[in-house]
Amino acid sequence: MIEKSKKYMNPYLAGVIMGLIIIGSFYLTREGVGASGAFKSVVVSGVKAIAPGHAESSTFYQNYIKSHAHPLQSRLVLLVLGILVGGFISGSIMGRLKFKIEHSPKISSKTRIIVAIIGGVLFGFGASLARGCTSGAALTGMVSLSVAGFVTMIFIFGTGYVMAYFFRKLWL
Amino acid sequence: MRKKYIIVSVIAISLGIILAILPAKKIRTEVRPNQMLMELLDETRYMSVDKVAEYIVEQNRFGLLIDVRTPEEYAEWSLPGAFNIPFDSILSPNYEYILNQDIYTNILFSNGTTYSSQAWMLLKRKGYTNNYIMKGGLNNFITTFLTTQYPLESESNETFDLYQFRNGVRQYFTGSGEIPASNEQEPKNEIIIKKNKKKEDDVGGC
Amino acid sequence: MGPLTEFGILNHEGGILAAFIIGIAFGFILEQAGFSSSRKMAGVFYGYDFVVLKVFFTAAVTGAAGLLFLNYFELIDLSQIYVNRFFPPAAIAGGVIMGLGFIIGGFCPGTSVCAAAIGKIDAMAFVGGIIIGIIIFAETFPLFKNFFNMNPKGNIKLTELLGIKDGIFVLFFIIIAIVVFFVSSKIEKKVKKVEY
Repeated sequence: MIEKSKKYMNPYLAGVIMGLIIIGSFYLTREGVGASGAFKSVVVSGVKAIAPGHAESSTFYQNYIKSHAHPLQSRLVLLVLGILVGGFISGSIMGRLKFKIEHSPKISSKTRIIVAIIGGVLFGFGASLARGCTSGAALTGMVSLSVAGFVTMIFIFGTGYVMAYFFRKLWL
Repeated sequence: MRKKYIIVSVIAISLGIILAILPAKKIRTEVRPNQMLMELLDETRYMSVDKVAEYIVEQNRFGLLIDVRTPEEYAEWSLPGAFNIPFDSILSPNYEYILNQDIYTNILFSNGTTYSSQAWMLLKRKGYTNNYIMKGGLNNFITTFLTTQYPLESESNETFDLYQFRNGVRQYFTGSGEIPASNEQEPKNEIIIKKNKKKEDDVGGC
Repeated sequence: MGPLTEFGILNHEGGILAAFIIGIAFGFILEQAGFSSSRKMAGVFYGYDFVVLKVFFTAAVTGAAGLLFLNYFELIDLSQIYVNRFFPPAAIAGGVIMGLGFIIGGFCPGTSVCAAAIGKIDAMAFVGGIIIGIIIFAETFPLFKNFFNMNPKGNIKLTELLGIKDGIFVLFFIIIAIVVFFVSSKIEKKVKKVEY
């Protein structure tokens, strides 16, 4: 355990640095950090490229295309690309680069992949509905003291705790 | 280890107390010069009278005409379907639901463009979008549509098309193909075509 | 005076470049904090590792307090900061669905990208899931369009709702965070460690 806690940064220090990064984001671009918006941007341009007719007829895509720039122009997509690069840099410095499936010994790799996909689907849907994910709506929202941020945060973690018991096999 | 966290906690709380004591500072940035200049150089805030007429003739319910003149002037004559928000109450919370939304296209107009431009600027400062100014105001509207000249033979087809369109608009307003003899800038009372003002209700839904 | 993009100091391209750099920093710190491990993250729900809570709350408190200080020293105009729009039904339903996604999948979108970057295959699956989820949302959007836009409250701040000063709220926020950290480390000590 001692060895492990050395490997990762002290959580409070990491939190302070993360807070400063969010302030930097607000200072530079008036908006905080967020990840789900980028996925939405990619999905919309993907659909537009593959099935332009469908994108034309659907209100969701229409609204989105009208109000948003090209994905590579979009701030959020670049932000997520940055997260990818930043994560990779950190992982390589700390020697954590390795293809692996991390799961509880009680479940198989296959189960882990399936639940990860299900979790992703729920998150993608929920983030679209709540207009942002954990970082975009909850974390950034709390920094700007927005009601939406606190409410979203409470319901994400509240649901997590309520449901934790039922999914304990996945983790413990 | 414990000691370290206690020290950090104490520092954090003291900073919090400082924040709580510090007076809330409202930075007043009435005009952000760079941004305002950019907005002002941008001609897209204007909507041509032809475009406005198109909205009226087609009875396009996504275009909302907003008369920023006084209620008296509005009562005397206004564009059909126009909604009156007097300039002095443009920032009143009562009208916010109309001015601050992103579905309808609001077209501000006054006699000239002075009041409509000022109103537009105030709304821009509030961060509202979808507001436009009718270029040249009502005066321009009247001159354009009620005194359209038959174009010269040498003019391009587009000019003829424009003439046709404007003539059509005039007929819509006056009910006649005749060019009125009047050279008065101010409209007369006869040409009142008031559409019902149900648009007011439509906007509320969103 | 910030935000720089709002005052024309940073142009559109500059803003995008800034976003990229912020992304790198954010991804780096997520990975450093251990957010690239789903089992470490899930620990917050079972009491064996509260790293998510600690990092998350410290970041929120630091950010909120920092913005107020910057505002006080006239380095940033708080009125220009984007405050998320609040639609109670959509925010609550979305939060519940995300909470489920969190406990089942073990990631959130930002951390899954970060974990995928260091080769976690389950994180890549999660990212794929997010894309599917968004497509489902887009395709079924007309069904709950009204729900999505129901009861809009605008860009409202909690301090406006409660009618207290930002600074006082942040002070309470700091105190609550410290109490939460204290309690969580007590729990952490009691709960059986999980190796991962």
